[in-house]
Amino acid sequence: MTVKWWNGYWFRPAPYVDLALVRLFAVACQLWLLLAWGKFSSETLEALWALPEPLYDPITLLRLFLLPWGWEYRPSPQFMAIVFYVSVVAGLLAFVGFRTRLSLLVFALTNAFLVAYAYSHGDFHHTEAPLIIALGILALSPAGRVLSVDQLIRRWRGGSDEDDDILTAESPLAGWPIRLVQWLFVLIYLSAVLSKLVFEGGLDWLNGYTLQYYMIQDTLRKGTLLGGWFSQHHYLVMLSQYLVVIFQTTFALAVMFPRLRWIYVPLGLGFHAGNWILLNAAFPEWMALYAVFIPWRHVFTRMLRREPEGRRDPQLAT
Amino acid sequence: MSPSENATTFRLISLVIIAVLGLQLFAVIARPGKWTWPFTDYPMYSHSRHDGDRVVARHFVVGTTVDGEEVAITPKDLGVVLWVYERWAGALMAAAQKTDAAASANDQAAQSSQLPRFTRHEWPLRRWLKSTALFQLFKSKPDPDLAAMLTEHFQTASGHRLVRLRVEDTPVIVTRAGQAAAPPRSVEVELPLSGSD
Repeated sequence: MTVKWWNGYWFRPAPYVDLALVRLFAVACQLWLLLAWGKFSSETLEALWALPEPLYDPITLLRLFLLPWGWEYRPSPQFMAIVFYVSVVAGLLAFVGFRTRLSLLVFALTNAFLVAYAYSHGDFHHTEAPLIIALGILALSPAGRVLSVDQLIRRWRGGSDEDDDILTAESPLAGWPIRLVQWLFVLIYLSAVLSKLVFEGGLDWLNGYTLQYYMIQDTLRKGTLLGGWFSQHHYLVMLSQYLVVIFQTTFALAVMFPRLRWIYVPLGLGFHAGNWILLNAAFPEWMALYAVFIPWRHVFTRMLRREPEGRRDPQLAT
Repeated sequence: MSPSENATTFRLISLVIIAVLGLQLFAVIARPGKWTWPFTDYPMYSHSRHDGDRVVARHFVVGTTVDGEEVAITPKDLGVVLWVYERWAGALMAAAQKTDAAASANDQAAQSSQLPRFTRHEWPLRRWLKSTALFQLFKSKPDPDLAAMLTEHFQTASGHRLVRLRVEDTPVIVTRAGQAAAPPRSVEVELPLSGSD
């Protein structure tokens, strides 16, 4: 019974196109961060290398990556530059969908390596982890089945057309990665709200001054678009703190009841956009990963006014 | 795929699902920080702040050489990025405050609270985690003595011999109406620091 329920939930047939779109959003976002935002540019890698040796404290994942070179090995900027370029090439291949599983796997591992290296020098942030995990998950899935060079090659070689229709093709293996990333979001938001109300803050986290403090701090340190102005409105700030806590506490509802995504997805995107504007805390990776909450096939069939035969309301259910 | 291949695939993927969700749930509860990255907890902006709290955006450090000359030390002079510089300045402030109980008491007084605060607890799972051999194997090195290390680093790189450092901040305080000016704090640290001997 439990196995049936488990398989029914995780391996319910889902459209390949939804998974492919998640791949495109996730890979495009990470490539954009690597190439346009200058994450891990040669200057950044040189700056990390220039930090005094005692500041280098490799995190567990980096230690595992570097085991062949030794427990405390510190890669040079040249070493890291090679990893960077391998990552970019793998990312481009993953985006176009050529040898998609392999290129996604290399892209996930090299990005994990780059981030782990940066976080082994004292600084630590929370922006990258969900996307890195998601890329690893996608590498284990048929994310390149459609909207990919792999699909074109398969067609050219005379592969089955029936399985390859972009909108109708679906598989029991196409839904679990999407659902897994959705539940990952639930746990991440749960962690955030537990930290605020239980572990670090307390109920007085909701006093309004807390978020005013962070807006003022980030405005002075990094500059924000509207943080300085918004921090002058105590009750509005307090209201937004309550909204954040309610949103993060109840996010699981968006996964359990897909119709609620009409509320939670705009709210979540607004929440992250607000963080960007008011705190200069950019989480583009999280915003890109919200692609897992969009029923892409449903959207496209609506746009094309073409409902695939025998596949009514093709999710909302993913 | 044949039914038996399907079943094997489902089983393997189920293991992946359980591992991913299990690791993330563990991170939510045990809060291991970057130890288990990319499975980590998310405590961003989670400390409570209160009316009247000081917000310090930047520190400035000025050194006095053996000749009595004053030298402003910027992140560039120190050869580090801003966040390392700020950690250095913070460590210098802390070193100075260790010997200045009055300043420390004043700082405590500035942290007024309107509502009762929660005490941070070390939950049993977290205590247990820290005691395991695996954690001891992977745990971070002890924090380096940043204050002494970077001060020495600057002196070696610049050729200046310093007898004293002055650390200044430019704070504001949080009020209901937003930020308000607050008196700057300036502390002096005699060199050499104990950690650099």
